[in-house]
Amino acid sequence: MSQCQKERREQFTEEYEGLFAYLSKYVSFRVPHKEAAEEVIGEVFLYGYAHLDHFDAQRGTMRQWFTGIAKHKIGDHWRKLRPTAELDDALNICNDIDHESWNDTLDASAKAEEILTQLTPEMRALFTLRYIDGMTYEEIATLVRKKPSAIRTHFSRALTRLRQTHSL
Amino acid sequence: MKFSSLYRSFYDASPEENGENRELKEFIAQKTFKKTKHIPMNIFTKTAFAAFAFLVAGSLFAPQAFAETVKFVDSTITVATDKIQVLVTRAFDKDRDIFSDEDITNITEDSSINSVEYTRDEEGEKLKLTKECDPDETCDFSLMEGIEVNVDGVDAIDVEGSSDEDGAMMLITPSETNTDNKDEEGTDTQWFTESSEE
Repeated sequence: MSQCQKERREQFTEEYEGLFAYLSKYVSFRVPHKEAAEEVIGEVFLYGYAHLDHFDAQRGTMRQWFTGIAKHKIGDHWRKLRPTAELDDALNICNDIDHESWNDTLDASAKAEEILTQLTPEMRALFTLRYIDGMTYEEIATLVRKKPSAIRTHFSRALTRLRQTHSL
Repeated sequence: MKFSSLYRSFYDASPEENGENRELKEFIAQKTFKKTKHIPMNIFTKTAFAAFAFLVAGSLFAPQAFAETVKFVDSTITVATDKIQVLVTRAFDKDRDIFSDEDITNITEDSSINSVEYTRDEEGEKLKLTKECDPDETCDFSLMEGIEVNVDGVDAIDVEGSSDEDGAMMLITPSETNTDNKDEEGTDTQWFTESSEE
């Protein structure tokens, strides 16, 4: 083992605790269902550790490097899944729903945090991809192998359901 | 504050580790920098199995493993018996499946075959395709053209069929175009006779 390899492994060992915490959250917020997320997390680390030679500290931190691996593994996860139902086949909800106006309403609700905590894993993943990763509906659709219109419908339906459930 | 901002606040405030992943954390540590800790069996088994499956899949689907493809040519026999069977036998590497589950499923779903039996013994692997027939009517047994079975070390197999009063007979002929990777036993070519009285 070269000196460089040794140094990288030592760095990985030092950063492991923090990396695991960060990547656990990163993956679990984007991959619905605990077991699937665990598998992706494991794949990210095992792949990253096996390819530590490719890590270049000049180009970024180890956290950034592992985040890139996680993005690819999350993409792989979604690609492996086969849609069990076409969302487009469900109710045809208007895609031009006025999100802005009732976003403000939701914000005004004291129940907001409670609502977000109760999100389904699927919806949490979609919200994360949309609001944390800044992906467009089209990009999300490509990732999760759905039609953009289906994703829009999914968002509209989820937001409408939240509003109705919590009397917003 | 918009909903998007609200969600970002929720995300930022969420704990980075909920503690439920402790088993996975320790397992990964064990796999990487050899951190010695107790590894619960469930997570070890699950992840180890996944890793094993990944390795097996990787070896099976490596580019060189796709070197050969077995094709059933369209082969039809006509016989007035209560059933027709096709037996495909190949004695070769016993550690590999000739027919994947997906292949067998495709054969079953895409043809008129009633049942497919896959067996494995010391001789190798056998695929028995059976179609039940009405004794009073002509029964056609047709392997769909284009059915492909991926194997390692075996090239195209031609299936020729004929029938007589004793039943159906199928000749399984491995292709002569590929002789690479064949085992010491060579190619297993055999006649198979299924009596209508059995």
